[in-house]
Amino acid sequence: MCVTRKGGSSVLLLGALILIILGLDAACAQPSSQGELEGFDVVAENEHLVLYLNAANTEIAVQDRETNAVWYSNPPHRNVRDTIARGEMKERLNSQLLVSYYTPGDRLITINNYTESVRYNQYQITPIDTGVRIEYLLGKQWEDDAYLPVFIDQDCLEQLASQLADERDRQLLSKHYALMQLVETGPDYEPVQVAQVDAAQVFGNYTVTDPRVQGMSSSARQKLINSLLDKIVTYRSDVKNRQSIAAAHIPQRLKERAAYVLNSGLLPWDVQDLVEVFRRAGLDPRLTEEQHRNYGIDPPRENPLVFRVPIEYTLEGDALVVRIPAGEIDWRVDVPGPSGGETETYLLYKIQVLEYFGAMFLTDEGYLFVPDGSGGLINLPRAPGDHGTYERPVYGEDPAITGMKPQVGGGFLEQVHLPVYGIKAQERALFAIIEDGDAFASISVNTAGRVNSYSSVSPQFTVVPKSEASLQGSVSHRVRQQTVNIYQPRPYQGDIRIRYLFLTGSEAGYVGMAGRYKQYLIDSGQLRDRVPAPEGPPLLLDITCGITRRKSILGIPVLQTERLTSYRQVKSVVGSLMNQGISHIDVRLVGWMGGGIEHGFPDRVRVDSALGSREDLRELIDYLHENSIGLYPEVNLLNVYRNGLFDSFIVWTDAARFLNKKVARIGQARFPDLLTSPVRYHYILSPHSLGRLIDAVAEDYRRLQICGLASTDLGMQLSSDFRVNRLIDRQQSLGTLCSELRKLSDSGFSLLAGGGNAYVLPYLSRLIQAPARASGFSIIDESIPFYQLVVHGHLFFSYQPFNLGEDPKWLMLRSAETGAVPYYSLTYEDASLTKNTEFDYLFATSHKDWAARVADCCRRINAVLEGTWDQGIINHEQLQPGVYRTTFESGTTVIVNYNPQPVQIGELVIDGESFARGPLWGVEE
Amino acid sequence: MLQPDAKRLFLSMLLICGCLAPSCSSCAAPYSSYTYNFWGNAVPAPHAYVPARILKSSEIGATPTSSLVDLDVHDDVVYLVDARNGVVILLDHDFRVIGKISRLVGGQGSSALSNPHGICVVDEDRILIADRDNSRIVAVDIHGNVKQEIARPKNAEDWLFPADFRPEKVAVDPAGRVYALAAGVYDGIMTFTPDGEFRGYIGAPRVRPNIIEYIWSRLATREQRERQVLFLPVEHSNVTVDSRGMLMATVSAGAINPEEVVRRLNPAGTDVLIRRGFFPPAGDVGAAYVPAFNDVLPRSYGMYSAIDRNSGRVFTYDANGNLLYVFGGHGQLDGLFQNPVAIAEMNGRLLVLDSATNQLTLFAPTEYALLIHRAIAAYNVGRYKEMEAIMQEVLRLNSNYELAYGWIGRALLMQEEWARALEMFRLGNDREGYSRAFRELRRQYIEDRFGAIVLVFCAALLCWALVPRLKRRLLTTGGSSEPAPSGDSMASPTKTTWLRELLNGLAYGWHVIFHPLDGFEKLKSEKRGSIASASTILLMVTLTYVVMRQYTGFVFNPRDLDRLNILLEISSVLVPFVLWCVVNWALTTIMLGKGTFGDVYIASSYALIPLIVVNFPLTFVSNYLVLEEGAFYYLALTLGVAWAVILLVVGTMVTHEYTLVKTVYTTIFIVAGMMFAMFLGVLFVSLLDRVYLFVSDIYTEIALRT
Repeated sequence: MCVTRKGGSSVLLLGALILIILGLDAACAQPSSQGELEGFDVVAENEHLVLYLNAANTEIAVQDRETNAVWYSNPPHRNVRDTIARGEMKERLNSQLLVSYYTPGDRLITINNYTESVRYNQYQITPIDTGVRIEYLLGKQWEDDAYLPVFIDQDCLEQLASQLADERDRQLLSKHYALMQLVETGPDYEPVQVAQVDAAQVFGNYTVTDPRVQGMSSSARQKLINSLLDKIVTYRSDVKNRQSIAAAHIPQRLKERAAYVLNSGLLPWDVQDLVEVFRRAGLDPRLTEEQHRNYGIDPPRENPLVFRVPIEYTLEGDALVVRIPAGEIDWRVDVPGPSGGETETYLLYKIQVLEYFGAMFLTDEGYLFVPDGSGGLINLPRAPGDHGTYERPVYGEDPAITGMKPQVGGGFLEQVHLPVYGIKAQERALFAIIEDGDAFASISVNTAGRVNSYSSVSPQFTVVPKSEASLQGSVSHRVRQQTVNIYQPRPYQGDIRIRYLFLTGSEAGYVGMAGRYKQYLIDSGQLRDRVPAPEGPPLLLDITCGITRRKSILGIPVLQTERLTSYRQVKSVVGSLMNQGISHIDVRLVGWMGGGIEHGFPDRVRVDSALGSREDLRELIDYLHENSIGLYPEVNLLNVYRNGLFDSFIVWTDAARFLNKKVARIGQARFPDLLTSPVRYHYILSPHSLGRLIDAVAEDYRRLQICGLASTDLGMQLSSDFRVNRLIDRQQSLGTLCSELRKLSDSGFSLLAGGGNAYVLPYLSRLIQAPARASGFSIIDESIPFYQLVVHGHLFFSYQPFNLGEDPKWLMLRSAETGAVPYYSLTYEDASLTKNTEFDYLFATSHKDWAARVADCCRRINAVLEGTWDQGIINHEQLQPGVYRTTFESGTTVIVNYNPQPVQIGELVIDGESFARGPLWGVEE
Repeated sequence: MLQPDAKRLFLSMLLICGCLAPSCSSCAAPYSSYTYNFWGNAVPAPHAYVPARILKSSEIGATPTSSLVDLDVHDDVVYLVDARNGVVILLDHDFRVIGKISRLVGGQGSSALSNPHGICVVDEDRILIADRDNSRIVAVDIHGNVKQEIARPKNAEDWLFPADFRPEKVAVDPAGRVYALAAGVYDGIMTFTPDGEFRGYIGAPRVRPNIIEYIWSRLATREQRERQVLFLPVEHSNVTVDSRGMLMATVSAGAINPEEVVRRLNPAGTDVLIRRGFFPPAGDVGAAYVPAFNDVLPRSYGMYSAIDRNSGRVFTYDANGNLLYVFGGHGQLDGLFQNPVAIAEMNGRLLVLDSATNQLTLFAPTEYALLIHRAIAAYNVGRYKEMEAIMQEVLRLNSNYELAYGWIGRALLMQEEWARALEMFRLGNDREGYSRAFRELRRQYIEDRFGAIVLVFCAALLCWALVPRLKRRLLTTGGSSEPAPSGDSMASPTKTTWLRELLNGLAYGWHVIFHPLDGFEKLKSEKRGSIASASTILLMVTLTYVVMRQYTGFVFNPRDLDRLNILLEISSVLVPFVLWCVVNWALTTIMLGKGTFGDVYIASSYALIPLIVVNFPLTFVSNYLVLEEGAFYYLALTLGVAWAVILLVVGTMVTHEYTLVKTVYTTIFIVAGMMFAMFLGVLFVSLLDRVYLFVSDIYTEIALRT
């Protein structure tokens, strides 16, 4: 450790408020060979990395020992190179933290730590184990007048003066301050005449005197009294002029003790000098405040707009870890307003961390990697005029804030499933993993040319989630809607932690990033062991058993169960596929419970009599077990679709709440515009009640001897519960969910979920609706299978059912490219039964129409992917436009051609919109 | 990482491909595809077209200052009009820029294009460009040599020709006639002979201000009228010529009949577009926005695709106006549009130009769309069997597709498979087809059982003839059975008399409806009817309507039976009835009417009996009628209502002892009074709504502050 405190070599920065002491052992400091690192000092180092800090502006830099490549928190030479940024944006380039806050009037304002903290020297650097901690105070805390006490106790000022090394400073103080005290007039007292004030009435039988002077002259006394009265008129807001001074305005404290009072007639430079002197003397403005209050003088007002944000940089092995303990973030709450009326709070809303770490210049070549869906690349440099921004929340939106169910895939926007991002420059790359605070994070990108000349990707953290309540104008019809912000009552208390990895050489690229991330997940136990190799072509099958249909009998609405597949018929659907040689099938059984797909609260798992008896279900389970077919009966765990009278779900206690305190009742918007008012609603189950429900479900599943459990929402919906007295914030909700899933998985359940947010990965054995691509934002130039590169071989995943929704041809090509298991959704009965129900999205599921095609597709995909199912993907590249090659660990390669025309790759000719197994990796060499 | 071979290949491919944009391996449709069912609900459907390639503005030769406004495709060459730069950009089949037309050679006018807005390519030697700010339509060849200029004629005595000629869209028919749309010209489509001679206008869309605007403008003073927005006559937004030489035009805004936003004009300028689908071919059904069609693309077999700027969607219809499929949408994702202005077809793929982003999006058909196209082709050449097979495939992909059921039903009709056709038509909600299949089935049924039916008929006739006699004999023999109920009534006198009275009252209804004057008189004076019997009648009337909604034959019942709401049905009978009674009583009390409220209630209920008498049997019969016999059905319905109305009036007259004249104007007052009451009711409800909002607002605010 090279940071010590040594009086001789320490740099002493004197702020009036904060003293920064940073010591650097000269012997320990690395003489930086490059001029680039000028001003930087080593604060930590290990065998992989060196961490530098520039104490003057708190920029950091990390040097990779192997290649000597340096990564800067702020782009070097930015003042010369940047030609676009102006004003605040130019200063922002110097920042490490951006803080966004809401004013009492609900206006969102963003400030940066350079302008608001570094420039005022309001930061403190403390060395910590393997790194450094910097505590910023954003917002100028005190104005200059807070450093200029008007009245100050005698001993206070004398003590301050003793702190001063310079004799001239002390003289300056004594020159501009006069000591005075109120003493009872003796019999020999000779009254002093003061202009416009009746001294006798105001002072009574007291008078002002300098306690150090015996027998003051009348004129000296008059001077003191004038000075005192002037101060009262000037510094008391309730005294307009001399005439209105009353006895009550005279500080009574002066009777007990002597105090220094600022002289009148100070010149502006005198004021400046004095402020400087007091700062040097280490005057705490709070002392001024206290003193002023004691003497009845208006105290200086502390700026209500102040945020204290600590940040810690440490080296952990080959990684830089940046941590912001969000619980230690502090700001002033309910400050009395300037007029003393309503209190005001400037609420810290979100923090953006190291916005420009590794930022790329306008002309730099490389790309930014964002985890949108399966992963997207933003190529750099951009074409002229083609610049934009990107910001998406990690794990999707919180439905308890948006009031909408997250829609994943199938033409909707893809979620950000992994809390990672990266930057690739030419020979090196930066890869970041958000380790904590991920539930509040969003990934944001700014490309060069918009506000400055740098492209960057960085995380933002919403420390205080916010929503809006609208108050309709009630009086007349078209009053504009008033919205007010409502905030989560408790800010996020956990940590914000980001781990930065530095990649070089051949590893510097998205494939390398995926490899490192995968290794990280395995090392930290967040990814399962390898899946067993399937025997025969794998297939994931949705079988929908029952749906509800709203019927009307003589005008009375009745909810009927429509049977699409009975328990017995499931056997024949599966059997017909097995007969065609598809042996490795996993069945996700949908709508098998009473109430069909949108069943009631599943605290007691009921078998739907319209679909068969309990005995039939038992038989089915046995049958599937004998044929070693996985069974995953679907159950809604996070949302409650029907609130029955006799179940244990009580809306008042078990449903999550919105920020406006209302029950989180989510409207399911009707197709296709999602504009029309919803006709169906469901409740979000509070994370509080989740454990109880999962226990009950597990118990019932066990009784039925089912050991697989599917719940699609688990992997894509993460919601808070803003109930006032038992708030569960999003990160806590994530924790609850994970511990429940761990419990399930430990007790032997194999789980199936959808979407695939990172936190569910350790507990899943099957994943559906995995992200197949990035959302089609025009800023994203390429969608890459980053997600697949990470999880393949450790998890069987599938995209959307091939026969519903998306273009089946495309899904098949993408599955072959990325090693996804083919996925179909079938019913035994004709799909026309779903016509005119809420479940008409099952429009192509009749098993008799599809069985042969399903088998055919499975065989086609397995023909190229056989032997790779349990292998990781080690490479993925574009051979030519629309032609991609994926390489698996065993060396198997698969080439997919998305173009309508055939292509030739070496000896191999691949038809249009088709795929083939390429030559073994390395065979040609 | 690459092997040497692959690397070499990769590099060479790169060289060959040049600026070839990556094929859209990541593109997927960012919209949900859907179609409308019979009831106007959007139902999910597979994607018909998916974005295959996004051509960014820099790839297709546009500069940051460009404004691409029109698009045409001819012979695998794409022509793009850049209005701001005055350039026509030519792209080859792979969307590489192969040339530009910017300088024109020859001709009298300017040698540059100034704000060109439209293009129509006849062939390489005849490209018509609407050169807007140069006030001309110019025909050039691919090298920019001017072949023809159509400008305002020198001898401008032709007052029909606009003074300020700013052509924006241009089209040419197979005979070489030129059609143009010009800014500020509301008289229709301008037509020119192949020589460029102005021939006049055709097809001016009719302005249809809505009724409220019309009334308002009548009532307003001159100043008020002047302050109002002008009723701008409607302008076409685009015009094109289909393969049969008919003009197809779109209207993007204006006070036009919403059905007529897409039009097909014959040479006389008459709109001949067939609109026989469930809904007129005018975009989304019941949408919250006003559709604004920007361009239409005529396709094979009378199909056409039109783009709606406001929803960003492309709607495709067949020749009959059936909605085939929808794709696209409004937004900023790849595959969505912000301001789609032009659509063109190229080798079976569709190109859509977005003028907000200057992007071209190439859409490729999926298996689903291709099957639909093949089915239409097969149907048009009369291969019904094949069409049915293809449509079965379509249904496999989308069981929500009601059109397919209808088409299969039609094919089955041709094959005389009536029963299966009937089922298909029912699934496809095709009442016309259903009726046709049903007629055949009915005919078959009757033919098969002709003997039996005649037998039953004869038996019935015999019965009819014999029954009166039998009855008479029975009455004489069974006369003693009469006192039996009175014997019962001794056991429980109150109950039975009550029931008897009710039954008597009901039975009297029969007399009332046939002899209203006498009937109503006795109802009142002799108390032949009671509140109980009147209420029973009312209950039966309500029941009649519920039964009618539920059990009327499929052909005559266009409602969604699964969404029937009994409360609505009941209130639709009861509310007007109660209103009538109350208003009637209230008005007649001040108009010296002699009837009490009870009298009014009883008389009005009895007057509704014809509805029961007519509607019950009619509901039953409607199950056995076909569409052509609908006239009888509707006539019977109307007669029933008319009968009831007459009885109501007569009832009022008799009850209040009015003269005929007084009755008539009293009735008019009552109807007016009912309307007023309803108006008050609506007012009250909306007031309640306000109060509710107010209270809930206060609650919200209190909840938020605490």
